[in-house]
Amino acid sequence: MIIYNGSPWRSRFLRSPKIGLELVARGDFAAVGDLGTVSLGAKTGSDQFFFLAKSQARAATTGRWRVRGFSGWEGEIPKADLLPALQSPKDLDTDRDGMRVRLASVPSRGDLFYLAVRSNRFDRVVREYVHYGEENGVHRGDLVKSNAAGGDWFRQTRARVTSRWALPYNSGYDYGAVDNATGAVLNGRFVGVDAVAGVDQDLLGAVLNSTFTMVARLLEGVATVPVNLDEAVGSCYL
Amino acid sequence: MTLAPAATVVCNPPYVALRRLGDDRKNEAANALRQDSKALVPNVLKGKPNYHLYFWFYHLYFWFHGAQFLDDEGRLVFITSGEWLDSDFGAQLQRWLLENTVIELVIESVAETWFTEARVGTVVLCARRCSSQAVRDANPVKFTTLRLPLANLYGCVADEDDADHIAHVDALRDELLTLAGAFSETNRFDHSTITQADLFALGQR
Repeated sequence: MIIYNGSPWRSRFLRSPKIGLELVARGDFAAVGDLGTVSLGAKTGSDQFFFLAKSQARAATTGRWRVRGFSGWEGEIPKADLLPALQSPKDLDTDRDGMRVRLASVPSRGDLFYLAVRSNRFDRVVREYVHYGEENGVHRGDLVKSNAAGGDWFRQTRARVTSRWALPYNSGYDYGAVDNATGAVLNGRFVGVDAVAGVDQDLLGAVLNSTFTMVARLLEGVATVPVNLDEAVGSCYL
Repeated sequence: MTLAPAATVVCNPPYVALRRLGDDRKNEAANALRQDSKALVPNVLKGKPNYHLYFWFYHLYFWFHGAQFLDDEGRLVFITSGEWLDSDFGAQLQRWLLENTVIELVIESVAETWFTEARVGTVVLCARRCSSQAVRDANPVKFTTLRLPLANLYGCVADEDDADHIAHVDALRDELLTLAGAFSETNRFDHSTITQADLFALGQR
């Protein structure tokens, strides 16, 4: 069967300066896609439900995080049902001594989690949160159902993207490649990049943050459909 | 009513996401394709509606349906929003064009907006039906970015008559269709040329 994934005709052939085509034609040109594998982050169908923020208040029970979730819900969910997550490039902005600073790596102790309900345990607070989601129709979303692959709607079966390097999906964002050594689950505002065998991960990061690659992303890594990013789907062409 | 096969279908379809349409309009589009020759309908539209269609734009239906009216070497000339050229959902249309037509010319203007009411960039694509893979593979697909308004490129003069105007338009058309070399940049327009076989291979990565 012939597989056809598409390629960015407008970016490459209509809008890019022709020097790009000249460089691509060189024998010593290496595409970033040859150095790393690229995966689009999670399209949950309901980021508001599946991504939870750590609450200001500490959890009263050991082994749990107090978190805020869908539509203001707040509760203490077992740490074992939560994975570190990165939802938006803006989550990498922080204040330091009154200055806005952009982090170059995903914090090991972040404030955002992805709900990854264990397959062998259904905690009572998680059950309460799931019930709250059902009351609000989260389970009826097409993408939510699709991600569950016929199983429990709140246990998403799509492969989680926890790549070493996280690139904002939309090149309009003024961000480089972020080191995700902490293994945070990336949502669909990011693409994850991992080095292929034989390529050093740190070197790949340096390449991804090089001026040349940044420019190439602006030329070819384009947003796809003119809707909000939660709904957008597409590819980052590297 | 039965129409004789047409030499050209020129179309300016609506630029709207499929999910923004009501069920009646979506069913109308699906039914139109159901009555069409299956050979010119992509597989993704032959089965049940699926998740991918959620992201489609309505204008894709017009391509497949419009092709039904062409003779064996008839042309499609479409002006559409250009986002499909870089989108996942547009890959379906890319493949369909690559496998059923020779793509002659793709034009975008950075000098002017062709529809003041449209909020998206518009692109013109001209393709001719072709059943020979050898011909399709060898076809040079020309992409052209216009850097001057069409009126300037035509070289129109005041008070010219229709015949002169059409001659100017034809001259520009012929110039664009006969551009030589892999790419060029000028003050009037940029162009890139790639064989259809290479264009297909690029989308298979």
